[in-house]
Amino acid sequence: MQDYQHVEILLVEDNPRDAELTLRALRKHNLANKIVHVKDGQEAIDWIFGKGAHMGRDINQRPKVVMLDLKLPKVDGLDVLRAVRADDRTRLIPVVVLTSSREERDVVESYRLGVNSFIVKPVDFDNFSVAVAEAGHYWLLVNHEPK
Amino acid sequence: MKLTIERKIQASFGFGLLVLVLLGAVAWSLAKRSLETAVLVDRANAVLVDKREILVSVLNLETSVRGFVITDAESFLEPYHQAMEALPPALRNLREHGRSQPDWSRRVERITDLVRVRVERAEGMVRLCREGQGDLVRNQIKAGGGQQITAEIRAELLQLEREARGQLNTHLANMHRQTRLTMTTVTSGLLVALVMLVVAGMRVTHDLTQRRLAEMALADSNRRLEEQAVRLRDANRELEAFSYSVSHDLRAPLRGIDGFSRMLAEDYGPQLDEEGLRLVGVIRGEARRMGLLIDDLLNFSRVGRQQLQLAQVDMTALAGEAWAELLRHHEGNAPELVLHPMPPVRGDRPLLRQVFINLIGNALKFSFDQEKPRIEIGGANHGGVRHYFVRDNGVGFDPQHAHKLFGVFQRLHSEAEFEGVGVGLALVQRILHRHGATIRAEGRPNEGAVFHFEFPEKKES
Repeated sequence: MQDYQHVEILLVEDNPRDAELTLRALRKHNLANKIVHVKDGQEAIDWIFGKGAHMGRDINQRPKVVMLDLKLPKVDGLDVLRAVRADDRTRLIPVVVLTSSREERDVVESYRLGVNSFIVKPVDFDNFSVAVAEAGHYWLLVNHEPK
Repeated sequence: MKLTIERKIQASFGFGLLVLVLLGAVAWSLAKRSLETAVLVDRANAVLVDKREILVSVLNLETSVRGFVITDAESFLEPYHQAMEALPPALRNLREHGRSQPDWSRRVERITDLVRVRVERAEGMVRLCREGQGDLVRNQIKAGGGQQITAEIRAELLQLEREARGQLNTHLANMHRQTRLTMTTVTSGLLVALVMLVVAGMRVTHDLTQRRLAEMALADSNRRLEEQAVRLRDANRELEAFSYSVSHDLRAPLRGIDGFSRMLAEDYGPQLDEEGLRLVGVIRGEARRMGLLIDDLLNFSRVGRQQLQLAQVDMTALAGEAWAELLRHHEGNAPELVLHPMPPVRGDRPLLRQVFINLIGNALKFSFDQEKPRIEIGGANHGGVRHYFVRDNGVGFDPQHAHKLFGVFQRLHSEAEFEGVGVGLALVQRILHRHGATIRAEGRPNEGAVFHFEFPEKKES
């Protein structure tokens, strides 16, 4: 079983190719062991709140950042975001939304759900660093020295 | 002459009113004339009455006096006294009634004198008789002087009567004539008016019917246009939604192609020979191109959809911004830029920025090979019409194909010569059209190109 203590990135992405590219990019920078990848919105909520399929996980072990794709099966990305923002225990978790276009970004912003940062897919490491920096979370840069 | 329905109705009413007024005038004139004639007739009649009265009185006087002379009986003087009383007022009346005719007054005077003379003579006789001079009076009578005077009086009175009757007849004839004339005039006037009003009424009714039909046809065609507009709007919206979702859905596999071919190059690069690497490069290049295409298409459709956010735009500053941004990605020497101050215009700043980016980008691209690439941008306000241009000294184009320039995906140079997907100018045209502006291009092979675009005079609405 994965050591959830060290989980720092929750990747919510249903497209296996996009997920593979993202994981590869982050793996190259030694973040792989810190990532949990879930494939739909329901599993994301279960994991974050420690219910359902992930019953028993400690909700207070919050991820340092959530990378959230929008078009997800079962529960939509925006609904996951809403759920995270609605609960005091999870409200402050930085969320980086993965969009396919600038327009999608405009639409999401119009919902005013409090997104910390946007990355236009494909996610490469540079985009990711910038996004995390924007989210005000510098642990990644502190932890890792660029090659 | 084309008259509007309103004018025709007004004219008809005006004409009807005119006819009424004319008829009124004619009737009034007739009445007045009749009244005058009636007065004259009345006077003529009065003269006849007076004449008879005087004659009768004079004869009575004469007869009465003669009777008295014969009988010496006072009772025979009764008529005499009556005549003496009746004559002065009768004469006065005659004078009064004959006043209107100047030649009558002479005759009236003569009659008055004669009557006076006769009366005096009669008075004399009566006196003499009463004094017992009966024989003297009888001789006087036999002499016939009194008779003579009476005869003269009768003659004058007769003449007067004739003239008065003549007048009377004339007046009556006049009256008849006038009345007939008036009746003829009025009748024909009324007939003409009636005919004209009927004709006018028919025309107006016809025109009104035409108008109503035209209005119905207009309303009908408006409704159809409205329906068409709705259908068009719906079709457009569907098309926009479709192209949006398709572009989006196309991006996902594209990411895969690009990302995985990059992984291939990275992970297996050392195992690939030059040709293998080239092949992978081609895959990535094509994927990138497709991505640009999709972006351009999305952009293009978005421009059609979104609301323009209008504001006063400083075109000079905007062109400068676009230039600076393009230069950041420009390889090689910076071309010469001549940027003239341009008038501001009311428009959507980000979209107009895109216009400059595309036009200047094109200019940069096509003048790249020149020894001294030069780009000139400027504009002027010609009486409300704002005109701008972007000129380059690059490879130009064949003016024969100018009309194809702005088509989506149209290219006038091969892909090998100049990279690009060909949506740029179509997008520029679309943006400008949404602003109500026009664009045209001039160019000749190897003599550069210039793009002119114009915003029409602002209409205050």
